[in-house]
Amino acid sequence: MNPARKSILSGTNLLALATGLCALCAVAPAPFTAWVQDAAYPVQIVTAPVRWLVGQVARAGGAGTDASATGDAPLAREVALLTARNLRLAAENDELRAQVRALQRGAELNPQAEAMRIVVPVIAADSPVASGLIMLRTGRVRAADGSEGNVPLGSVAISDAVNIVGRIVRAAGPVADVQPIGQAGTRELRATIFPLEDRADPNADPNADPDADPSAVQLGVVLTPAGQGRLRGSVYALQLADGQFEPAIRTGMTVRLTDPSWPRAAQMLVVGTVEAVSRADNGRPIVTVKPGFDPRSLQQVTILLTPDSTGTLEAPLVTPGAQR
Amino acid sequence: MNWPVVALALYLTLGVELGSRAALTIAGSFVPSLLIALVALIAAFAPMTAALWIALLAGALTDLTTPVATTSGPTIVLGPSAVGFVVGTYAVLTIRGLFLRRHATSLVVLAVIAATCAGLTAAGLLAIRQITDSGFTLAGPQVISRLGSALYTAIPAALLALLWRRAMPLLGLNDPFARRWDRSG
Repeated sequence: MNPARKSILSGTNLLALATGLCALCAVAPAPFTAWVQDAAYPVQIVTAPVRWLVGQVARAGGAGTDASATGDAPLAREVALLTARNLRLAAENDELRAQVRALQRGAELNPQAEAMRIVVPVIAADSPVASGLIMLRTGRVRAADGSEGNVPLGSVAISDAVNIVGRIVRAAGPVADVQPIGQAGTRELRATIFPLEDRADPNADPNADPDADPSAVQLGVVLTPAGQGRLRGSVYALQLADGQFEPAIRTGMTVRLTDPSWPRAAQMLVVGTVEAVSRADNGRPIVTVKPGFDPRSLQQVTILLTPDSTGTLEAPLVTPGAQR
Repeated sequence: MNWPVVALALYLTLGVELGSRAALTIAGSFVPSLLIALVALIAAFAPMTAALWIALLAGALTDLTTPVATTSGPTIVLGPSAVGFVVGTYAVLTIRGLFLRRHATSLVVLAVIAATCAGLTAAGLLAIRQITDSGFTLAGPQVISRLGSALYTAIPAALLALLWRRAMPLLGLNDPFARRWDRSG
């Protein structure tokens, strides 16, 4: 080989060239680097098994499974086990009751809501400082005409049957990414607070009329990400009965989605609960909303597959295929 | 250098980093980088060119698996971490002679220096991207979170450093000081 040519192709020169190309990619406008989005998926799929495994371990560690010894006597241990089981069942029972109430409430407010639901496992959640994306193992979705495809972009992911997690922003092959609500970079979303809905809440207004229609009083809010996974927005009155004053907003009130840019099946699902209330300069209340899910403890989510997720589906979805 | 083992170590470390990232986030924005810690430790003992190639590869993998939060949604940007890891590794290669590399504390300091250089370089490149690409606006501050993350990297680096003497032969890295002592012994 020519010595001059050999020096040009030396490892150091190639390294400098590769580094320079990377620097160029980093600062080049999006149209020139669109191919990077596609190149990322094989890497993400290859790393998914380890990522999922570590995510499971991290979640199990975070859950803090407490197996402290309660004594050497078998009877005492048995009592402790039964007590723990009883408490766990009671907690599950309460959770299910709350879900049923929330589902009934959502269905009552949005009777047209219908969508195919598939439950998919969470591979891992990215850090909020990066993208905050939650990677799911979705498999392929089969349409009525037999064709298979990715989960439609824009489909809504929910947890615990009613809590909105976010929307599918990327899907390729067996995996898809959800961008959680409240994550920096997400679009604003419109929601509604029904102050009378939370009358069973001990913090709710004791003077509220118990027979009043919960949907008679509605407070609208346009929520934008506020950091730490929270959403914040200014409240305005949507609907008040005649002669009715705007009710006080309290922490713990439920905030439901009423955003026409989201799929119909997601309307009236729970965005979160009011965590804090403050006042703007113009006197309007500003609420901080905490979503009803914790990305670090999500094991699985439900995806609402609706034809109107993107508006481009030609065939109705009938069944998820080859998920596991 | 035992390249297959190094590749396996990078793969496993990347998977662990991605899987544990959400659980390890503190103060809302500080995340340790296991991969830069591994790259820095390799750079402390590896030949220069090999260390820089490993850094470039590890950085590129980080870029491809870690979307950047922008106001228009998460975006994969190839380059910030790749170049940042190379800069951080070059810093380690430059100053490694000043450190007693057999000592775990030295390795931790080298990892933090590498992470700091990598983070600042990545933040700088993303800032330039905001100028060159009108549709690209970062959703949050970068410098503070990356500096905090670099300091936080000391913890995984310390764990790696404790295991490092056992891992070095597997990775095919030579400890120059150990060889010298072996001769004298």
